[in-house]
Amino acid sequence: MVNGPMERSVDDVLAAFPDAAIDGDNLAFYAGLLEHRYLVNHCGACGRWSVPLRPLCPACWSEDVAPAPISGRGTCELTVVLHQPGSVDVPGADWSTPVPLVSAAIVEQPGLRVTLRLRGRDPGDVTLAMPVRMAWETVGSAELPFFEPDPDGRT
Amino acid sequence: MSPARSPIQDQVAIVGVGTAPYSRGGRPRSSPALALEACRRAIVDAGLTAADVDGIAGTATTVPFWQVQGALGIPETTWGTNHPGGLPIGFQLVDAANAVFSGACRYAVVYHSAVHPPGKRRSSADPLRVRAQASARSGSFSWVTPDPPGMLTTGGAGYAAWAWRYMQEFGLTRDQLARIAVNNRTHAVPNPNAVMRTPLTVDDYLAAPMVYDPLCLLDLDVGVDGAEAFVLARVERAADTPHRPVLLHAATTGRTAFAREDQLEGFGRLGPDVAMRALWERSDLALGDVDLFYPFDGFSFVSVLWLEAAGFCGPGEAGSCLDEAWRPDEGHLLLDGRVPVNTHGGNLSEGATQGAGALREAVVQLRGDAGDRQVDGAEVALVAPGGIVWNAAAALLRTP
Repeated sequence: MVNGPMERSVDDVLAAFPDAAIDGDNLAFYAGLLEHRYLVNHCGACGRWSVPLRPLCPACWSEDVAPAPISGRGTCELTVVLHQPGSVDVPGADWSTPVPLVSAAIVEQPGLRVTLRLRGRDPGDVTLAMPVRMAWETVGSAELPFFEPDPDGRT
Repeated sequence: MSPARSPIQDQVAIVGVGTAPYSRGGRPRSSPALALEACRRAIVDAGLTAADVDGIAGTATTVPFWQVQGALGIPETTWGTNHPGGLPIGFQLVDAANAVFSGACRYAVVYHSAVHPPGKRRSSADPLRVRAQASARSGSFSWVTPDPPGMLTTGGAGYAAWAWRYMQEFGLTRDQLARIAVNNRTHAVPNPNAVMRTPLTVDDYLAAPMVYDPLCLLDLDVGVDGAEAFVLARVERAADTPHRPVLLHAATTGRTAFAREDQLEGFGRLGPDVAMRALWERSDLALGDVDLFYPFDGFSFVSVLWLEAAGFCGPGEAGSCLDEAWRPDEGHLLLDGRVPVNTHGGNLSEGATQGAGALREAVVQLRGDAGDRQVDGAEVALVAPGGIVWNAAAALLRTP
């Protein structure tokens, strides 16, 4: 379904994310980031999407689970504005201004959420069910996704 | 009399309690040193010696139970377990109660020690504190190595995100949230073990800097060096101990399937909801019997969800519940007009020992030994350590 890992050597992926806890279960995910694809495990037996990346479908126990790209479109379910570095490492954040994060319900499946940094919207203007879409930026050696308001999205 | 809803009900007692006094800043004591002090005090408090203890349950990956056993000179044990460092006290309590009830051991010591590493910004000149922080970060704490890296709403950020959601859905205000912080501080003022004893007002709270907006500095617990320990025994052995035993009426832990902050299903389907349903199913007491309430407050917002889960208010109604319970002249909360909350100051103001301080306070209150803080006539305490993600637990304690 996805040949990202085949295009990138393990060493390339490890070098691009020097601080990440990369293992056999999530290697494809990190390789996908370098291709600007956000991969989520998808069950070939029952069709369910699931996070985090584990080699078993929590809904049907099928092992026919493989990472597949999601659209990156969704609506805001949760948000927080970080005012200082705390328990959360936000790659690329310099903390000169507060850093908003958004957990969005992804259109692929109700209840499936992806959490990313939000750009392009004042933190005070974030609302429940606000449409967002995924975009990409280079942070050091890594390619990382963020959310931005989606002018074409539906709440 | 009908049979109890659970065979363990009222069959295990807390017969000893010991504290390694809380402190913050300065040269830290090691986690083992704190655990040993608390365990020694608890065993002496129970009128026992090292030779009587044959079971140990603890936390903190840095101080496993077998090392505690050796350091205390406990000659033989037949039962022991450890939970990961930082896990609230409920898990060890439930495990030890089951072990004592089943006969796996006669006297179990339960301990929890906390050592406060400096925050990222609060750089410390003390080399031991800096090393403790580095060790914690390189250890088994998954929240510093998110998997995958999109998982940014961990810990405080995750709780703040759910607080935002609750405010959006149900209209909870920061003024209402402030009452939890102020309540706990008010109770900490007369508590000599508390590290935050300067009185606090709602205005002080509203002026505090934001950390995880909508949570501010005063919504976050205060890291301390400190430890608590407890001795558990079957109730028939409790008659021989020097203090009034405190009965464990019911205790349980509770989790839902997707134990990650940003994947939790939603309000009403969180760990505290599972724990409280299970607790009432195992109990012959009702909410109206509860005289003292100790909701977890690692973040103030966690107490909001425990209020709901326990049944002090309906879904989404915690804000109005806090309005009704608020006593502005006293600066504290009285639920249903009579039930005080976190009478020791909680993790927010006494210090963050992950619910261990709340359990100690409940025992001391039910013994009638709380001094200036004593709540007259208190017979039942509801202690609810843990958060909403994966570590919730709840216990009902009562006088004999």
